[in-house]
Amino acid sequence: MTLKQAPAIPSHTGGAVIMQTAEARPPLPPFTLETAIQKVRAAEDGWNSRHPGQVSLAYSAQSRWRNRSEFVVGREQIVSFLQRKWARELDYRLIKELWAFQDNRIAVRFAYEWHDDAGNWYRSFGNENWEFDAHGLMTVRHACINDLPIREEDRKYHWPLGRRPDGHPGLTDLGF
Amino acid sequence: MSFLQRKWARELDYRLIKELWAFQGNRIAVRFAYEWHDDAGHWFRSFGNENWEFDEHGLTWTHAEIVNRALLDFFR
Repeated sequence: MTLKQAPAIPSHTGGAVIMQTAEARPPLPPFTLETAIQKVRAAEDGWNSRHPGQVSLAYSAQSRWRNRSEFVVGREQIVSFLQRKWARELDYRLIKELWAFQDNRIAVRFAYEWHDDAGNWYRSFGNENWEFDAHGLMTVRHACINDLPIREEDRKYHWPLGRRPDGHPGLTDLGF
Repeated sequence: MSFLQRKWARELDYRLIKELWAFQGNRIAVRFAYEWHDDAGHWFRSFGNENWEFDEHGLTWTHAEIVNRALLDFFR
């Protein structure tokens, strides 16, 4: 897959030079508490769409991932990774929460619920490290995840598949 | 047996490297990788991310660590 990138157009905002391209994904680094929280929510919303092609656009063309013990490089591999993921993890619902941020880096924790094709439910817990380029695209993602089998009656995530509704409790609210 | 005693009874010749990812107030996020072998001689590289939160005495009171391991044979 070849991705064309529009030439960068510098613009001045509040004294800071921000490079804007057709691929820019605001908010851009360096992050503030507010923009880091926005970035985390945007990632959560993207993954809850369960749309591999759309999700891959938040990552740079050569984005490098470690997901569990699997290594993924570039959008084409990201799309195929996500296709495999969501073919196995059914009725996937995700909540992410900011842990810390610094310049162009964000650390998050997350938990998602899903079931396999035999009807066994899981709650998967993870920590992620993210690094972004000047366009707000993620260039590095390190994700560690462990799957906890749960009973269906112990599920905590029940919203209609897709974006978590505004006002729905977050990870800390749920005691995770 | 405690967690760490069990850990190092299983993870032999353990060697660890940690690196800061980000910090904010009383929180630190780190990543790490360690190599070890089991008692059958199989080597592993284990990758992890940790989120730490500290009290005013500098002691960790929340420690969420998640590790995934890869058989080193996989990388050869």
